[in-house]
Amino acid sequence: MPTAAKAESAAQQARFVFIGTVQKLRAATLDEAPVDDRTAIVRVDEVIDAPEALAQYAGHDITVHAGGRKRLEKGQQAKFYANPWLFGDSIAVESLDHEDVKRTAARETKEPGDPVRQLAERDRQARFGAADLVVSGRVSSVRVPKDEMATRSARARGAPTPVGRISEHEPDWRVADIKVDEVHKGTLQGDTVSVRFPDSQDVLWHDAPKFHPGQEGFFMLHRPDAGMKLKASRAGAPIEDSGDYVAPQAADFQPFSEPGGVRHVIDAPAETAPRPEAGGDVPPRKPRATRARSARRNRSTKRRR
Amino acid sequence: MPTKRTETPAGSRKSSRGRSRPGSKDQVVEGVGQAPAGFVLVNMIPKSLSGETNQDSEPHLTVNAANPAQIIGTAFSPNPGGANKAPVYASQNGGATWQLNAIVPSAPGSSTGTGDITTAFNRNGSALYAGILAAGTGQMLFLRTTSPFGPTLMTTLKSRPNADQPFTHAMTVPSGPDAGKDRVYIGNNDFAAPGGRTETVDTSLNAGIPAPAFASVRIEKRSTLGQDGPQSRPVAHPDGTVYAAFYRWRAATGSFPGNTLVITSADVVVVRDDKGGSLGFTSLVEPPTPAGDGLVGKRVVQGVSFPFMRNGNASTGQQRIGGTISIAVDPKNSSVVYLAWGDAQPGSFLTIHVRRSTDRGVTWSPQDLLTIPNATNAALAIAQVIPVIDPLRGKGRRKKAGGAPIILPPRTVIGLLYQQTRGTGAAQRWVTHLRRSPDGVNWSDLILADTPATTPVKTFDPYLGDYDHLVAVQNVFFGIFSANNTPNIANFPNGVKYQRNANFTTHQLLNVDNHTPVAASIDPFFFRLPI
Repeated sequence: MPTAAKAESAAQQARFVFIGTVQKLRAATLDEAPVDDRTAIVRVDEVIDAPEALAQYAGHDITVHAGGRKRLEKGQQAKFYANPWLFGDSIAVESLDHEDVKRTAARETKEPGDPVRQLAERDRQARFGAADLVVSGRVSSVRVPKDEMATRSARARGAPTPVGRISEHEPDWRVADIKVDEVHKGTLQGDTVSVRFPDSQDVLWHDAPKFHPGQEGFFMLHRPDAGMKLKASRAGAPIEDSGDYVAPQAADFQPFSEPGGVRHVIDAPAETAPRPEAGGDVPPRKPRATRARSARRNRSTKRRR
Repeated sequence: MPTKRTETPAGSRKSSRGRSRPGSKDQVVEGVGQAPAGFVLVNMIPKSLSGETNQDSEPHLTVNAANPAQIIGTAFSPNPGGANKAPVYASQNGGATWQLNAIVPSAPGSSTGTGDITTAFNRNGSALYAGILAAGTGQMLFLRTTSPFGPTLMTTLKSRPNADQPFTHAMTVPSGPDAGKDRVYIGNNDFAAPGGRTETVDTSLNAGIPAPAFASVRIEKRSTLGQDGPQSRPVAHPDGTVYAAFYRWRAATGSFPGNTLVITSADVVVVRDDKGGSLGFTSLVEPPTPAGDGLVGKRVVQGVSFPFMRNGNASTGQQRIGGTISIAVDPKNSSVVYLAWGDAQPGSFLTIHVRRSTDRGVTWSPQDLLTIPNATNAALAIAQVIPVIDPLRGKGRRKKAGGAPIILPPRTVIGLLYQQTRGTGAAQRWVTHLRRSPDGVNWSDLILADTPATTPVKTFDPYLGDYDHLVAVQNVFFGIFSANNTPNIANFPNGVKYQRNANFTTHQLLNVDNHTPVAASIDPFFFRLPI
């Protein structure tokens, strides 16, 4: 794989991106981390993308295990694309790739931003990329699926035994109907779309977006794939009233009140890469699409496809 | 009424009242009580994750019996980096310190790492087995690794949908033609089981080979209301005896979505297999009518009732309630087995009962050995005191002719871990107890934690977990539970050690900079106590 392509791949996979300086080779900041030729103590100079738990690691020494063929050198400053591996008194990360910081700087002259927000932006954009349909609009109604209603009715009638399975991991499906203002990706017949979502607060489901009437924002919608069908089947999901799409991850919904995120992708010219500037605030706004504009955009989207 | 005596073990020390050492390197804070000798309680969140605020609930652990310094714990803990591997908690020094090691298959971005997860070492610690509900798909996976402290992802041995609450137990055959074979038992509630007899123990009689076979043994032999409860709890003895306990659901009213479901009639059933699981758990059969029904599995109690909640609420300390079951076998006598289960009683959302059988589950003590109201997450284990040479033997008046040393008879101590609510409203607390008894009659009570039940507000169900866990290796109890992590020594009356940054004077958690305040959350706590 060419170097640039490899770096791009590592950048997409890495959850912890930072600039660091190699302090000591064949050494670790944790007793529990095995040490070999690819292990080094690296001081984090600047955190670029990070989850909340790692956002404060600038100035800390950590353990890096370098993947790939590139070697580390003492005193070397590099941009590391890494994933956390071991957390103890210190942390150890597996570096998917690293680039000499001078070469990196030549390509990027951006100001550092909030690393947590930067990672969240990436996640939103990744969900945009993975979505089959992205729309902006408003939840017009939320209903219990017909099949679930039938089950509840049976129970209410005092059926001698509960109908369907009972599990603490029951998803408690709902279907939200969304009145669409604009289609940003994919195609849509008409101006409404239905989305199945779990209303459960159980550990397996609490992360999924919960929709309610009047909710407005961007919806990154996915056709139920084999995995989701499997999960739906496992959980006794309705078959005949399952909704057109699902939105299984928290990053699949972005309210209009939230800046950045998918707005960067939507507003970017088609020929530009969808990776935005960190912390580049776009004033929160609701798309001003009218139904006519929506339909026009919809048609143009279809034509492009 | 069971006897309750004050915890005054030999060698106990008097701690200075409330003495804390905020900012000290090891964050060890002594409690106000009289901690038994050797007692250790550790907040398992490592220092490098001092900023985390996850709801790390539903904990479980396993100890390498051949090297008890090696311990693996689990909880609903995400990979702090959000990558596609979930962590286990790993200790290689007997639980004194812990690391998070990301080796469990997961889904990128999962906020809980996995769904339900339990693990078990084999007897010599050469393999770690796990049963999980995978994040993202909900598939039940059976996993294995030979290097739980390394970075390699656990190997998936088997995967299937439509099952719940995998509960893992492992045993290595010590002698005979199958010596050295790993036997793995993963209890689960399998909704794919025919006839609504969903209680299952997935059993591998040789799990150490590259592609082991697992048989889904249906341990429910009676009719049900369409399914059983989620708890299926196997436990094995080295002599080849394996027990499992579960709830047979017979009737229910109310609505699960409406959070009003009540299991109005359930039996607590124990099954047994005398040949390591190869007999399909059919070794324990009730007598024909009228004494029994002639079917496989002993109904220890019949017709119990309890809520099966969708969501915990204020009356239950935010914890969803849905029954609790635990079973433990005497390590020196496989005929002796203890059982704990929960049911609703007047004024108690769940009452834990403990009973005993001394004839391999055929008959049980007619009355409770212990009864605990408003409690859940029962976990039983039985420790044994290693036989020792009487140091006084051969001296003074006790000297007998010949002076041969006499080995004191082995003895056992039963341990029961549980979590109980105390108080109501804003003053409600979750109190975590470890009860111990040499005979099942006299019980000591050691308070491990006494923490607020109203804060933090839960982010999902279950608040503390649908289970916690207790194991015994020789004469030492090892346990794990989840609780509010506010660094207040009053919450840990027998002392505690924090790895994460915390100030016990201001009762404030601190981030990795040891300065920025961090909100309280639910953390897993490990404890170790020799008898």
